[in-house]
Amino acid sequence: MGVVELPRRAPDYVNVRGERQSEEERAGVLAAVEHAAHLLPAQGPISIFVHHNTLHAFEGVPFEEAVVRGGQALGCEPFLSEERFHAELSRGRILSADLQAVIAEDLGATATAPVAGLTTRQALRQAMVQLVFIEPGEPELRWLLAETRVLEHLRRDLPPELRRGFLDRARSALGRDRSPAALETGIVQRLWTACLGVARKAPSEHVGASYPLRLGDLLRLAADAGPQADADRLVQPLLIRLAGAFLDQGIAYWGLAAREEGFLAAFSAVYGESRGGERWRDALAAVIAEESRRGGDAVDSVLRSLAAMGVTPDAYEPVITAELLAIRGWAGMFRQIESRPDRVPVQAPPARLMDFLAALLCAERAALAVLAREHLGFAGDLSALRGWLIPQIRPPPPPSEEARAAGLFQVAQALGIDGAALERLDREESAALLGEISSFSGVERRRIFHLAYERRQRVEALDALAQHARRPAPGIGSESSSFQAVFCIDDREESLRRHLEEISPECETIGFAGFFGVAMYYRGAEDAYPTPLCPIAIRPTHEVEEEVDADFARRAVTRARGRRLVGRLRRGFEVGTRTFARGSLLTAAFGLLAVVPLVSRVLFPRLTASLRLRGERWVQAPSRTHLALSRRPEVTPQLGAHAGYSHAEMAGIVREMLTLCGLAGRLSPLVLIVGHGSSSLNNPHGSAYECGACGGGKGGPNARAFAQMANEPAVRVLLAAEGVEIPSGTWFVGALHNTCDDAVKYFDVELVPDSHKELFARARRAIELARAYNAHERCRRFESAPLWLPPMLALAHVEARSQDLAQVRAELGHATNALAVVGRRARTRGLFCDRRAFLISYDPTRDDDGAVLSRLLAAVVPVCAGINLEYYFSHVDPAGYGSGSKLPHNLVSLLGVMNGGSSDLRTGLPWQMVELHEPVRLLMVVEARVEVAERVLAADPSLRRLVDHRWIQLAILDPDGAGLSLRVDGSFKKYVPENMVLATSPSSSAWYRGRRDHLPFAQITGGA
Amino acid sequence: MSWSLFDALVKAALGLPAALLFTLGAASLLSRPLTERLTSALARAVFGLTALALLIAAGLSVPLEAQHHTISLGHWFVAGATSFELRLLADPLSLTFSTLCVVLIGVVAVFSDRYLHREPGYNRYFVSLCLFSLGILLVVLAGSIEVVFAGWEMVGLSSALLIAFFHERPAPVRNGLWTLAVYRTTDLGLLGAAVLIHHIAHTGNFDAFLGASWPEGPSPLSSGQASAVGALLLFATLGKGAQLPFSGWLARAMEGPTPSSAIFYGALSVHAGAFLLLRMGPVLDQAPAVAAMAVVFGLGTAIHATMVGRAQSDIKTALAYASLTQVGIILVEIGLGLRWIPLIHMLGHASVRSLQLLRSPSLLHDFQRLEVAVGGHLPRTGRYLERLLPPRVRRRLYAAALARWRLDELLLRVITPALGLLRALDRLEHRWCAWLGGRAADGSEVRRDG
Repeated sequence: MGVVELPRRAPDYVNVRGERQSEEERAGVLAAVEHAAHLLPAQGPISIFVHHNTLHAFEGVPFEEAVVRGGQALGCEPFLSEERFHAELSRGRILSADLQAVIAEDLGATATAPVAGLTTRQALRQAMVQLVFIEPGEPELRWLLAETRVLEHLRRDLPPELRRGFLDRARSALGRDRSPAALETGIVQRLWTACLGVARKAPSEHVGASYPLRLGDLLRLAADAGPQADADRLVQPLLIRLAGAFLDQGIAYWGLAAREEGFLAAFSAVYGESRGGERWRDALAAVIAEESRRGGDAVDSVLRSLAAMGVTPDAYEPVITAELLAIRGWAGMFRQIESRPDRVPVQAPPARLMDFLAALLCAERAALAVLAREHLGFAGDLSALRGWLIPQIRPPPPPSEEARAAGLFQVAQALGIDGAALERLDREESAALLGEISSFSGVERRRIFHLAYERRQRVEALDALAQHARRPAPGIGSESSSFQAVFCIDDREESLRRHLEEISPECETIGFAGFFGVAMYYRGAEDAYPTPLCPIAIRPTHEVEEEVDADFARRAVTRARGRRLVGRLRRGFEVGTRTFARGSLLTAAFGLLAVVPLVSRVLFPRLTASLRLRGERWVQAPSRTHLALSRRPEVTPQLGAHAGYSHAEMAGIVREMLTLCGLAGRLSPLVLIVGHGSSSLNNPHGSAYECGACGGGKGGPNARAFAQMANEPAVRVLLAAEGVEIPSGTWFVGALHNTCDDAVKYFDVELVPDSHKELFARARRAIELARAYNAHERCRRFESAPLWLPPMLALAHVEARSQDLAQVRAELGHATNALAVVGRRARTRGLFCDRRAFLISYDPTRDDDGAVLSRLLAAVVPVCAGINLEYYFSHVDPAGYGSGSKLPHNLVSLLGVMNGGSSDLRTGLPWQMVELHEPVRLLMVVEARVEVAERVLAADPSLRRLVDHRWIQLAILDPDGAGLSLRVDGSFKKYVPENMVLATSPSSSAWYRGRRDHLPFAQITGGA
Repeated sequence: MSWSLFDALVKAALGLPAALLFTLGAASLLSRPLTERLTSALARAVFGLTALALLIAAGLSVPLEAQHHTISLGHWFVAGATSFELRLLADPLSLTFSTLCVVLIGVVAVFSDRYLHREPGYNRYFVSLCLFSLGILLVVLAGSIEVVFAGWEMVGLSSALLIAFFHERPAPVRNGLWTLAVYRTTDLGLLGAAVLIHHIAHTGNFDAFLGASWPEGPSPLSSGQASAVGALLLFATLGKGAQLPFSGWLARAMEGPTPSSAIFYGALSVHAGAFLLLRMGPVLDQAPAVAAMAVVFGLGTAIHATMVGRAQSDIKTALAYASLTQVGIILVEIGLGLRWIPLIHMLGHASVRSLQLLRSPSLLHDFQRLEVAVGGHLPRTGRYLERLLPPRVRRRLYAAALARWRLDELLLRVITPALGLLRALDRLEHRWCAWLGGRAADGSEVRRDG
């Protein structure tokens, strides 16, 4: 954090009086960088992790197209692998019927069109996904033909009747005297010859050669030296180290100098001098010297570098995009800090993507020139390198006849087509047949698989909802509940809500975005500074502080002093052990003491944590606090415009929330407002487990603030005047649910009026039990928790997990999310959704014009879709879209993680977090009439875009019955259930007990 | 009676990890890798029992007054005056250090069990960890130079394998290979020392060249002999201990799973070199020039590492250099002829650093808690440098620190011509072989990859 100060003069480098490039060219570069920036990961500092659609930049095109295009641009997979889908097919997660339905829908009217008079398009495609279809490369194919027995036997996975058909036909043609084995070989060899014949007849498709856009990639392709001629290996470590130092938020003891002048200036200062190092570093120093002589700003430098590398203006955009995407984690972080400096944890350096690009290109120029000279003997100017390299790269040879016949060979067997039938084909038919096979490419097959995979899940969910609506679980419909509990819409709260209602049928649970409408900067009694607690899209205008009650003020001061002392000692020790002299004294004198925490924290995490907590109690702020919620005009807030809320603002917040979730006018005597958060150790991605609606923070203060607002008599008066009455007998209590260790903490309990104490105690007892069952249900997914654990031990297990340094799966987060239901709780109450559903409360009977629904969907759809899509991409390509395994992660600059000591910043979710996920698009079921849904969609273009470009699946549930309609191609079509039976179970635990995997829906009858 | 129990305990401490290594390795080789659950149970039992055995042995050593107790594991072979005895040595140095080793390894094994849960390389990781623990225990408990060498190689191999643990990506493999190359090169020092000792004493047993008991010795070697042996040992130490000019590999080694980084580069592997020098203290006493060299290299490394480490903005590299700083200082202490202080320093430093590395993924959490405690952003560090040094010098130093003094590039510049020479010799040999075999040089089937 220490900054080495340099004289505050403008460095030579940014001398704006230098050579200015033409405005037109400058505009070209600016536009190109702007375009490229959209493709960069939009993940900000890791301390505030916000889920978002990884391919946000492609939301303008339909999902299936976007994943392919995005995958090409970023070098990532669009869908799960075919191998994985085949495994899902064989274990029954995908049914043949699903594949059939999906292919039929995909082909539409052309499904029955004949192909070469032998089969139909539908049958052909069905065969290609039903049996394992491989497209071996040339060497593999040669090996298969020479070393395996593919030309002697029919494929082993052929259904018996097909095999019999082949043999019967051959027997009648060739006579009965041959042995079955010889017969089979005869069939197969004739078939193979016929396939080769078809391939010979059909003209070969010409594949044009394409060359990589980056000069570095081209060089690597051309050079025989292989990895030695890799410019990235020279440039990236250099750039990464400096970028880490430039963006550092406090890891390095000794900070980078003169950061205020920007990255490019720092780059020139640090790498501008070279003293007899490697040749490329000398070349870099020369490039920097030349750039500094010619002056101008970063854009000018980029233009000069592009010219030096021989990039013409029409290629600016693709080349700049490719260059930035090759190091997209760091580039993206520069972009994020440039556009949202307020989200940086300590102090935002003046990061500019353009500076980063200019530095990158300077370094590449130098490295490429040296590598081309040393490894290829290229002596000319760098700008001519591309033209010189291309002729040296051999274009890939056209596919061989065998390769073109291999697909047909497999398909013919799967369809029961004999060699004889193929021999009769003419030229055109041959071409049509091969064309049809090659048009159903690997990506296309995976798309079909993916649709089938989603279809199975959708059918099960919709059928369950329809059956549940038709025949609700007993006990539903009792209109008056004695207490209500409002939870976040989070899928992780689904199970807690279900258990709570099972344990206490007098309770009704509600789902609402976990900031409860209270968008604020919040500063807790212990906090060093205020943090925003609201969805990331909102910039709060209010600041709220937690204050220690007056009676405890003195204790608060002494404890703060104690806390500071302990903090300074710890900091002193941590920093000290990393230094020279202090380090040797500290490690030699006190080092051995570290064995105690080392052993205890690893071997007994839960015990150690409880001891530590007990110790920390002596320096914690007193627990008797209150929120300074009311407007204090005399206080100037640190952040935001106002300290506290006026009564009118409070009334507005309470009214909006009660209206949106349909609670207005039907409040119970006790209403719990339960926010959520998560605490875990050894988890740089911890923020991703917190409440998304609170911007990756804990929603407790929001719940507390909301309860306090709703309890305020003056607010109730204002609300009554607006027609939203809160009965005088209703009391609100705020609480915080920790989704990791399943603790529930209540706020302002001492304020609960005597009249409500008994009811509150009852509710609290129910929640105590419910959280144990919640832990119990969660534990079934943890392999390290034995299946026999009773609920109370399960609670102990999750508590230990949250305190365990070694635990990389403290909780599983949103893994398995798949469904979102917007509607009355009665539609889902008693339905076992396996923690897979976001549940959003909404009452369609009080919203004839859809105004409420419109506001609700605008708020929740981006959140749910963001979570769902981020999980989709991180699971489908864990190393490309996700951040790979957590195990080698290394926190850098307090902003992100790298793999090991020097790698690109890894964005997206780690594999441990998404491992259990089923990558399906969110199925959103909204309880609304068709007209209302149409109106809401028409009024909200961004929502319509998400729905009609199929980034989410949308269905609507008739508020007056059990009918469902599905959004298909821009309109709602009636959904016909496939399965009329919904499993039942006396209780949730009876349904899930003893099982680890995803579970089907079930109706909980509560009979146990 | 007590001595036989003591011997049995020490043998068990080596036998248990060896048995586990054999079990896990054989099961993998037969393509029947043990399940995670079984591996975990076995590892817990083995490392728990090993720790227990050594703790009891250490306890027994006090009443038994085990100042210099040798345990023979038999002879590899005896030929005339030359013998290769597999021999262990239990004395205060080996018992304290080996006890700490097994405690740390045990903790890391338990940690890794949860950390690597469901990781495809789980089994492979534990095989490497067993190999390492056997190796480091051999180095520490060795009573002859051959045993040291055997352990030394196991430590090096397991270290390189774990750096390259994520072998589906190129960077870990590259860095693992780099480390292995440094190890193999400097291992020549240890090998040379062993050969030399055999030449001088006709045995590798410690008594023959270290004297009767550690730390006093005195070494029976002459000053000249001691200097030659000492210089070779120091060379070996420079590689394994990541001292100048080989320091670069330590930062590259942070590619593996966090717990392996902790045990290897925070705690044990990085101290193996210092331990060896400490063990060879009596030799250094006889060779003041070598001791002075140890001080010079140690001090240089400490200064290098403390400067470079301060400029690193990622936690694992910062901790790697912090580790290196202390190892350098420990080397200085050894070179100055101290014995107990470096031992205590090593024990303390290994414990602190492995805890810090294990906690490194929690850094964000710790940082936020510290901010809460201090009641604001944390104060800047390193401000005194601004008072002490002029800006120009500071900028130079910073740039050098960020570039890590370009040590690796320097090594490459030495290595590249050396490799060229070796390749030329290789070609020559092939041609020679071909000529002897009566074949044309280019048609040779025995040609290997250069």
